[in-house]
Amino acid sequence: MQFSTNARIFCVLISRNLFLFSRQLKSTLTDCIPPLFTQIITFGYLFPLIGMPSSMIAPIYLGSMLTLFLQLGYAMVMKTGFDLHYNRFIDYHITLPISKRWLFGSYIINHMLEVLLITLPLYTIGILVLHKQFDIAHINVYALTLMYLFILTFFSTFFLAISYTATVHWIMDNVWPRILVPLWWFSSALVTWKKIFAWSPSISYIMLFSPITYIAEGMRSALLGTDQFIGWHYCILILCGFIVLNVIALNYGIKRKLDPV
Amino acid sequence: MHKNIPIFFQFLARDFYTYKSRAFTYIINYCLIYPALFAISIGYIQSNVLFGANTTQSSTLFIGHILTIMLVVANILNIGLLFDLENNRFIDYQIMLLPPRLVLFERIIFASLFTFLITLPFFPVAKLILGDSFTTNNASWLMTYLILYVGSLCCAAYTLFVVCTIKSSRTLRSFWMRINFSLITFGGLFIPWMVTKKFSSILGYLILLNPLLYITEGLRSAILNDPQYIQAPICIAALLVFSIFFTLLAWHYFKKRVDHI
Repeated sequence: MQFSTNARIFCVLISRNLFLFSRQLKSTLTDCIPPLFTQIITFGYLFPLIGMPSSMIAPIYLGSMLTLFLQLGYAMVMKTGFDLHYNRFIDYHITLPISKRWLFGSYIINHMLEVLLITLPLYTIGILVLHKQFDIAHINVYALTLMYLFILTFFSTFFLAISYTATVHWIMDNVWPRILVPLWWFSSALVTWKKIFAWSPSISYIMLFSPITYIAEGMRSALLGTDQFIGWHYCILILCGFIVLNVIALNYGIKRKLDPV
Repeated sequence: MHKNIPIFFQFLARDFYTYKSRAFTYIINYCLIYPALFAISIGYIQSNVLFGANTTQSSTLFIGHILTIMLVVANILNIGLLFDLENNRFIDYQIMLLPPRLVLFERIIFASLFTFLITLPFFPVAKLILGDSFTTNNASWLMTYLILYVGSLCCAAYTLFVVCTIKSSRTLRSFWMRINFSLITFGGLFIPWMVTKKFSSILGYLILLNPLLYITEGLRSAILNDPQYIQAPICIAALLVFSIFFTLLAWHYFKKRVDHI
């Protein structure tokens, strides 16, 4: 198939989805505001009252906000899962004169754009509210942009891979307890990795298996810029590996769900 | 009335039978994975690394996390009614056999019993994993399990009230994000009521209206036997009042949905 045809339909799919998304952006942002302020009060103001050092507020806030990515990703998994199981709108998409790689590329980009439009303002609001804990002079804009791009790519490919490799009923019953919650709690999202390493090296090594560790640490490294976190270069490098794994799983899932012959 | 009693129990038996096939999945997820994850990550890692906690403090942090399981399980059990109201309306057949109020009451009793059974192993599993790190020396187990049941009853009544109130299953995610997320976090998931009150007396008094707070406070009081938490008998009384309140509201909205005379 020609590049121009692929690119044209790709753009149409993206713009169509953005149009649909723009109609529910206000409602989705409103959904995310109560969790944002709940997190800010809990991690920014209440945790220090039970003994957390105030120097940890900024890193913990950055990690805790990753739950938003999980919530939005889960919504995408459910939408795709229901479509694959019931509506099969995908059958129409497959008949379009666009190669499968471009088609699934458009799904990934769509999800990345949606998550970006929701999380970026929310992160910013949180940082503004907790501005005393954030030293803006330390922000590395280049690193942050690159890190955010890789985080979005990781979550997009990860959740799309889940929706194509598992059935919707399995997802509903098991994806939180068996995949997302273990990845979340056995990561350094709510504690910095170097602190865990200082306390128990063996447990800190286990946490290196969770991609959320690199996401949280990379964000902290790019935004807070101290040597208390795993460097963002390493985080991006390892996230690349995880993204490749996601794409392999996605390929397998697509073959199984859409091309059973 | 006496004719209704056997039907009531047959409906109850039917509900248990319906969920028998999924019981194994629930047992793995909610009786093993969640307690183990919460015990290791919150009761052990987070509390030590983040707060340098003593055993009482780590137990305080850990106990509140049973809330997530309770509300999620009660929600899963009652959500079926929402889908049924939108599609099959098996409920119409049920209300021909049993007065609608009893149908609703049966669902609350079923959901509360099932949720209670699922949460039963939470603390024993945690004790096995955490050992002495989970303080149970002064625990009143009878009071603990009494609160677990009344808490399950309150969660069941609350989720059924939500199911009868919200317009469609599409708004359920928004409801969780906007309401339930904050209810869980300010319901003592991490932070006891005293600490929130110390931070802001207005917020402290406001969250006394949160029914979930009485579950965590009651459990902390029953297990740790510390007078700084709201005393267990007060929590039981509050949970019973909330359960009755939500049941009455559920009846009211259920009547509107099924349009019976």
